[in-house]
Amino acid sequence: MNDIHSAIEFLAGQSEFSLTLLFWYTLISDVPRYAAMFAALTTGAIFERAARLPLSTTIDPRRVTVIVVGLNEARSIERCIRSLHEQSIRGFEIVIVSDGSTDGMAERANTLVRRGLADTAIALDLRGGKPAGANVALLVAQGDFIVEVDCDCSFDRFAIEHILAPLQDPTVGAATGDIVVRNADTSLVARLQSIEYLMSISVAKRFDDALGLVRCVSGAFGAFRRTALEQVGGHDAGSGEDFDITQRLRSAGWRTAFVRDAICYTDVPSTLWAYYRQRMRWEGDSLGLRLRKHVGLMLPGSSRFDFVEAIHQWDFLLFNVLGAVLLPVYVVWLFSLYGSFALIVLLAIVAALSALNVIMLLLAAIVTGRDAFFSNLIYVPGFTVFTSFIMRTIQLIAYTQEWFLFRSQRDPYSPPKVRAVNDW
Amino acid sequence: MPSHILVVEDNEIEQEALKAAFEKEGYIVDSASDGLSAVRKLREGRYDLALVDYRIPEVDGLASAKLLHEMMEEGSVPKLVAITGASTELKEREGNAPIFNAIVSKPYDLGAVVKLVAAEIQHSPSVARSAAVDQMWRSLGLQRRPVALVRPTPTFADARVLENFFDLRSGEAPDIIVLASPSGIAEVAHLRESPDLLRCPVIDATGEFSGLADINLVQLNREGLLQVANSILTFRRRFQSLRPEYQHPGTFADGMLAYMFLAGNILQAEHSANSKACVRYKGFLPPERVTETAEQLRLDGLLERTFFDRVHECGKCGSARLNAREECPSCRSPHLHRESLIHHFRCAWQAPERQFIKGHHLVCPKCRQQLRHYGSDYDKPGEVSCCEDCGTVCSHTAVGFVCFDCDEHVDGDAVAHRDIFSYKLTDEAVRRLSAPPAELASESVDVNVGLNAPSRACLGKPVDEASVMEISYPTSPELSGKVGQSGLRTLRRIFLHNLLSALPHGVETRVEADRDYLISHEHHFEQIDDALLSHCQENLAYRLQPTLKVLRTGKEDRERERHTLCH
Repeated sequence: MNDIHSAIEFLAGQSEFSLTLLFWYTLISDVPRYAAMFAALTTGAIFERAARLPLSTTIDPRRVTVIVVGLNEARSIERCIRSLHEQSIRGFEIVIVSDGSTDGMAERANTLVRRGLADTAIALDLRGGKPAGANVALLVAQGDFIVEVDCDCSFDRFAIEHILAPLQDPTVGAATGDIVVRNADTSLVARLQSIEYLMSISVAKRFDDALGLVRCVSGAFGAFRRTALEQVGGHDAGSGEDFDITQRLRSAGWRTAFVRDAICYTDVPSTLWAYYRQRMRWEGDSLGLRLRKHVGLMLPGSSRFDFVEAIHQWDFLLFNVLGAVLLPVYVVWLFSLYGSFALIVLLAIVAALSALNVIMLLLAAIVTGRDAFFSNLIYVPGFTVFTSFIMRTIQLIAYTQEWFLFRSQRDPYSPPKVRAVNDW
Repeated sequence: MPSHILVVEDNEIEQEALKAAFEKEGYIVDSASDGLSAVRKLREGRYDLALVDYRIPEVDGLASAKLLHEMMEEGSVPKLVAITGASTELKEREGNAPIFNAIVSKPYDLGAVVKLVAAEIQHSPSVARSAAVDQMWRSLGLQRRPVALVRPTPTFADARVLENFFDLRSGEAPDIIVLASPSGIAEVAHLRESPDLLRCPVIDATGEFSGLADINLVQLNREGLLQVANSILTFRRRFQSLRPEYQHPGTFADGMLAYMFLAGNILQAEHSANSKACVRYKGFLPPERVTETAEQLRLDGLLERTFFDRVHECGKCGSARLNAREECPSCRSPHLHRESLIHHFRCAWQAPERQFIKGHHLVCPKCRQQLRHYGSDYDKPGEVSCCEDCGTVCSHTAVGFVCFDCDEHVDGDAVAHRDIFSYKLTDEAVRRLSAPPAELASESVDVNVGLNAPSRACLGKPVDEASVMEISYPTSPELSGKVGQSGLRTLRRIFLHNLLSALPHGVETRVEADRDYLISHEHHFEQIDDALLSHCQENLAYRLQPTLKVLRTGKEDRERERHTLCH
């Protein structure tokens, strides 16, 4: 108690400059993030409302193909297809690709076709990875609009109708839906991710959409214009293909959109280890694709340079990469300078950020209209620690491994034969 | 069998005189006026003897005879008898090799000519052959050569062959029906429906209806004819043990039962593409009627069935002649081909192989890179079906059917199917068809013997203590002619039901082939009178006009009677 008391006294006794110096890391990596989010929550909501597209679609469902690519999804494929049949619009084509499944998924898919629940099933004997599966599905699909969904997702009744709405604008090449965590109650890790999804997708992408900066059409639930996909040659090999295809579509001049009312529900990893593995892949892919494959977008001398895309790339570099790299530097600096007193400083940071997060959560609940505030309130301190320290640590490991060890090229998300020939 | 004679004579008066003389003797006589037409007729080979005038127009008698010897096989030339006024000249011209079997000098005595002809015919090869065949039939157990009804009406050549073994001309009731050509199948099926021909086994001489005919006579050898003889004898024997009302069946159902009884109790189904039903049954019975009738008879307990096959049917015309095919699930075209998918690892393009083929090279249509190294650059992860008509690509194909008869298309998962069964007479049916009338009508008969175990069990008391009333149906032969045996059974069943409803409880029935019994421990049937019987027949299409007879009164009555006698 004495320590806390003296710590508070110490903090209270600091000049503004000293405080700035003490909390430099938070000021660099967290405050702008919160400022952006606050902007998103307040002004973005207004923008979004002003620029809002009609939600109902006039697209004939018969011009739409939903494609489901899965590996060993025998147990979940039927539920996924049945949920598609519960949609507000019907009559769209359904194409299932079993990507070298060995659990009987191909037979299940054929059964669904025989029963009239799906239109086409492609069974591949050898696994080629999700991008290749999506490409073959694109080939057999008859529709002019392609909706890609993940097998383990389920959908709000109006999800497909809504996600197609932006595609009525002929300049829009792709649209992504909102992803909501379905299994938040299964563990603390899942609960914290549900808050993260709320902030980073449900809220942040509204802001991105308002600014025309939607950079990742989710692989779990995204809609594409067929001509746009064909123009860029479909998906490229490797993991992170959803970010990749979005980036390539944007580079080709297509606009991308986020549809807040097209809601897809998904399960997130419920253990820390599973979460770690998933984020290692996501963050590694993110870095690899941005700083290797698409680095030209941010280099002013490059033929691919694009000012808007460059802002985003620099934003990623500054807040994500630099934030992750500086975290250990700050902690070491803090402990070397203040010893055990550093813990108090970190607690103070957590307390302050938690207070901000409570505000953010409240705003997010208001903006999304979801009952997310009270159910998540007690998790806010945990969420703060989770995002500020655990996520950043994972990001740091992922970025390091990707940059120096080309981790994504060894990621089992792609089959070995594909990894062997790709050097993105 | 009457012999055939050809009279070759240009003088019409003489020709007529000779014809009349031979016909009077029972020969079948034909005539010709010149050498050429004589040779033409004789070559057809149905004559046992030809009486040839030496001097006839066109080609003279001797030249005609020589021509005949040259043209016909040794042994098949009929006996040749010359009539001539110049026998010396003829003999000189004949030289050392006599052409004629006999020479009659003009003027001749008609009686002597007839005698001469009779003598010659006795020694004609055809007569000898015919006698041998008759002998063979006798050795096979038949009294005479079988009378055959040949369908379709045979060509002359066919008739000549068949006539060597069967009687085609006598006009007597046939012993067998011979299917000589596939085109006669409808006629045979039609004949089969005639009750009088029920007892005739059908012989297939075409070799194409092995499962349908009672006998397959592919070769006219001894083994084949032995089969024919055995079949005729079996049919005759069974026909004799067939109950009289089934010997001349009035309905198709009874005819079918009777035929099954004669042909070995089994009605075997077999595949056939000749009819829409795609099935045919032994005995040339129409398959549609067989199925319908057999199922009814099965419900009556007279037939049991065994599964034969399942066929799919056209929804429009009912034909089972369907073309089963793999189809494009999108446009239903069968114009499909299987193709390998190629997966290019580097750019993730995955498409049918044809998209990659550029001359001798494989070039990725997405990234324009050449694919050189299988396993490193690319692989083939599977196959897809490509529709040549609509371009659909899919892993699975649909199954569909197109009717060969009406071109109707039906999807594989919507197509109707029909099961085909073979049928066999049940023991009950065999008993009904063959058992002599139950002689239960006399008081001496023990009813216990007639009642089977379940009947006894359901009575619960000794039958010899029961009252028994016999109901017989004297008009049943007439009725079965009108409604058939199955119809008659139905009438009896309804009548008994009506009667039982009118009687108090405690009366059991026992159904026999030609009569029924009422058995009761509690009643003596005194309430049955003409009015009741008439009432019980009111809802019948035909009146049964039953005759009732009390066979025995119950134990109590007998005791009462005895008691009365004692006093």
